[in-house]
Amino acid sequence: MAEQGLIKIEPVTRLEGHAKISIFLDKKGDVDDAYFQVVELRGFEKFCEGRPVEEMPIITTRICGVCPWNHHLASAKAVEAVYNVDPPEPAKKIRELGYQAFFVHDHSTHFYALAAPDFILGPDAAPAQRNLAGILNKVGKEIGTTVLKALRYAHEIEEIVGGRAIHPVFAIPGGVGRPLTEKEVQGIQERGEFLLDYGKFTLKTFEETVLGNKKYLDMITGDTYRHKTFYMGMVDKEKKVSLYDGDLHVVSPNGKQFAQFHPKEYLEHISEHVEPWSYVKFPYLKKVGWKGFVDGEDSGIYRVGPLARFNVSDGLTTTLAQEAYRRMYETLQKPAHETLAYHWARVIEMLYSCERLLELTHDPEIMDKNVRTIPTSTPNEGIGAVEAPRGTLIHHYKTDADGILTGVNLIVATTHNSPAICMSVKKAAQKMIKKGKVDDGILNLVEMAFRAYDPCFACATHTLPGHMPLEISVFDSHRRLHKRISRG
Amino acid sequence: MKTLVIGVGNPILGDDGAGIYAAEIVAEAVGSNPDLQVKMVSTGGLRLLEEVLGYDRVILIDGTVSGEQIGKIRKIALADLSDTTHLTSAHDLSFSTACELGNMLSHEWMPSEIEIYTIEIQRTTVFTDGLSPVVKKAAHSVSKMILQSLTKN
Repeated sequence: MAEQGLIKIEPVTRLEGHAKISIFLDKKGDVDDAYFQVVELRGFEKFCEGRPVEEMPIITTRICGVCPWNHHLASAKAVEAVYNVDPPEPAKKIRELGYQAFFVHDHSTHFYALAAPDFILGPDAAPAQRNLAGILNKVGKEIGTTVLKALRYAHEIEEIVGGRAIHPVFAIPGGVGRPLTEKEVQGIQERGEFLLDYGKFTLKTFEETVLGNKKYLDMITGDTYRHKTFYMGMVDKEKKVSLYDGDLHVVSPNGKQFAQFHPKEYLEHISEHVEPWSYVKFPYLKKVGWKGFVDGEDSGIYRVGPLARFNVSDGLTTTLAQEAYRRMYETLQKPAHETLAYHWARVIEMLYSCERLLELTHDPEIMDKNVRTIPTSTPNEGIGAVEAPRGTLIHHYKTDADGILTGVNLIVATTHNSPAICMSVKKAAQKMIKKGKVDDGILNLVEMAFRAYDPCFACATHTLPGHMPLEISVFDSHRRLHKRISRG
Repeated sequence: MKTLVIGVGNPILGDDGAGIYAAEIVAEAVGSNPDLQVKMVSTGGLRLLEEVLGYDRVILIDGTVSGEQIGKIRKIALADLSDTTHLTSAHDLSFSTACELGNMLSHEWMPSEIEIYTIEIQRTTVFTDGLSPVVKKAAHSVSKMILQSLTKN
């Protein structure tokens, strides 16, 4: 029982990066306010000034060891915009092929290592069991072998296409470094067949374990993890989810189309709010305005990521995933405002990536030799964007006439979501913590609020994973530290 | 024996790149060898596990922040490993846990020998190129130790 109202959780498990949650209790021991604070590493955008812009697709992969692929591709697209060059279609397809394998890998890691323990073992299971090893003990080691094999196959596809699995090197200004051989494409197809079965298996596991459990379904659809916000995501010309290229669409909390723009116009639509207690900036929709950490039609806060992509689009281009998308919106209204539904959308999106990657291996252009257009224009300024697993990623570069960087601006997915993460944490804390009563299970329920976003604070703060993970502190009405719960 | 030398760290975060720098020296010295691969990665946990699968022997080099004198070199076994800066990722699993998982799931895929060389570094929060002189010297020493070890085997 909290004596004075400070509860501290350190470290917060299963989250990428370094951040801190502070929860302040009132005199009754209920939650008065909660802040989500991120400690930033300094200077990435400044560090790159003075460097040749064509180095950026390699440098920016070092922002994050978890999601380097999206930086590599967004950066390559920004460099191409700087040089006003468009890669040939085969190059775009090769890029997308590697990228879809990365999505399979990334979404798998999040689901099995981060999210699934809460649902398969229960959010109030003992911390020592609430992890991937605990899942294996409960459901059998066979599932673990399947997951490990899938991760390995996705990793190998990334290596074949990208040159390196974790930090790809294949995207160069105007295209990719080399075409794919028939043998390589066959190797990808063989692995892709396994991954398709794995994607179906993962969705089935989610549907049976999570959606088939009334307690979890109530948690997903309940009010604790619900915010009515705007949503932003990338779609193709048919308004289907597109991870590599397309326009950005924004829908309102009531589902109405609010904006549609090319990523190069992002500054006309997005602005950033600053708070003194966090290094992460808080983007919002300019035309709605910053109204504080509130949701609703009058607040400019928007969300990105798998659920947001589904909300702004008319569906997915692959058969099985589209069917799962349709089933999801039979349960949830569109737009879906349920934060925990991010997990559901993520699993469906992973199946989409499995299907799409196999589809691309059968594309007649995937082995085409025309994979590069040489840039010839004088460099100037360019913006490139992709959908990262966590949401929209924008790279914006300015150079002099020699292609030397004079300015860099990056808006990463977790930054777009940072205002919503703050709101989600606060709401969950207010619902869960009453009269100062806090235990590990309750705190995990608070953590679940932001874990659904799969936040990557390595990217949001331009750092690399491995530092101290998140800590949660709870303070009393006199701002005195009350309790500390450590994990890991 | 299929051997992997793998340097871990972030090369644009100052001394954090110590493991990668040492691995680059080893790579240049060994050249092309079908039984020996040298990799440089900036990751941890499950991703690192995926990199080591399929090898018989793995030599891992990384920077650590553990309160020791900057530049101190240690050689440790996986069993002795406590969570270090870049062998631990809050995104998924620590490297030691990932290896336990690998052994649990697919023992035949896991390396039978894992050696870890660590170089004590000072944590920085500023993006910078290059290593400090002390850590650079230590990285050269570590690479020599590893090359001697590879020659013996």
